[in-house]
Formats: sequence, structure tokens, C-alpha cells
Amino acid sequence: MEVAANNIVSATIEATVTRADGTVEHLGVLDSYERGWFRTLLNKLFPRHSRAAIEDLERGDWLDDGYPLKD
Amino acid sequence: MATVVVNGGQAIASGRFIGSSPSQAEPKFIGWGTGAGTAGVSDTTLFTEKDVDLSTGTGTRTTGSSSQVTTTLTNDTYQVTGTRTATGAGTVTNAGLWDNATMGSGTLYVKGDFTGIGLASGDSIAFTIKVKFS
Repeated sequence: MEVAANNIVSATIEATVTRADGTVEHLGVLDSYERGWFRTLLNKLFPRHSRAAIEDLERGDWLDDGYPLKD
Repeated sequence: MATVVVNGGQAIASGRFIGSSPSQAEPKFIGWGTGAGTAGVSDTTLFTEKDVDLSTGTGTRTTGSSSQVTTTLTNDTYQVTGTRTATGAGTVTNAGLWDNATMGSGTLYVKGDFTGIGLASGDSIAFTIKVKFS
């Protein structure tokens, strides 16, 4: 009997640091080395995509939507 | 590095289903710590949990704002956001969600460790913690 891949939970922590002098650092998802290099790769492949579009790609939305040339 | 729903968090999730006013409190309280280690599912505490004064081991967690958000399917993700502002310097290495605002009390739900973030007094971290059900 096939076991359905359901009822799985996954967690992420994202962070933005604001320094006392007002400097803002967007750190994104904190925990994942893999996401780090993957985002770097996506930024190289799609340098004109917005941050939001890159995050869409990172989440794998393009697997549902088709080739990742939206934005 | 890892971010996990710890074993104790499963009881929190199931407890929240019971009754119209669940006795299980919502795990929306954000804590942080300064200790080293990789988060594991059997963990019940943060690594060296600290107050907003990162030299202090007692105090209060930050009450987050919770919502349902969409990651893949509509409302498939529980999200808590909240900002902690350091009143004493230190390096934050891990954070998590609890079902109680008082440090030293409650049950841990989510825990994540990460590359340390050095904070001076007055610096803040805005956390967005997500638990996605799939």
C-alpha cells in the first residue's frame, strides 16, 4: 500500500535585523545552507527577477506554473 | 543547522483541536537563545535561552502575532511574527516558539538554530516563524 506524503510539517525562521542606527539587514530564511546556495544560483540565473520572484522560484512554485520566466 | 517542530510540539498541535476554547495555549511566544547546537526534535528547551537583555537568563518572551498564510495551498501555514529588541548585547544563535510567555515555563513548539547574529543594545530582530502543513 502506498503511503501518502501527507500530514507533514516543516518549519522555517526568517529574520530581519534592524540596528540601533536604523540600518536594516534582511537575512531571509535563517536555517538552511541549501537555501543559501540555491538562492545564490537563482539570482545568478535570473538577475533581473525581483526578490519576490526569486522567492517564488525558491519555493518551487514554477513546478506548478511552468518555466520560471514570469516576473 | 535546522528548524524543527519538536516532539513536544505535537501535543500542542493536537491539544489545540480540542473544544471550542482549547485549554492548550497557542504557541505564539517567541524566545531566543545564545547557546551552540543543532536543533533536534527531542529538544525541550532553547540553547541557553535569554531575555531581551542577552546577559540575562530570566524574563519574558515576545508575544507574536499569529495568522494563517498560504505557502502552497490556501492557509496551509501557521505563521507567527514578532520583534525582539536587545537591551543588552549578545549573539543570538537560536530561536523558537513556546506556549507560554514566561521564560522557564511552558512547552516548546518550534526551534531553529542559525549562524549567530550579533546584537548590540538597541538592535532588533523581526522574526517570521512558519510551520507549514502538507
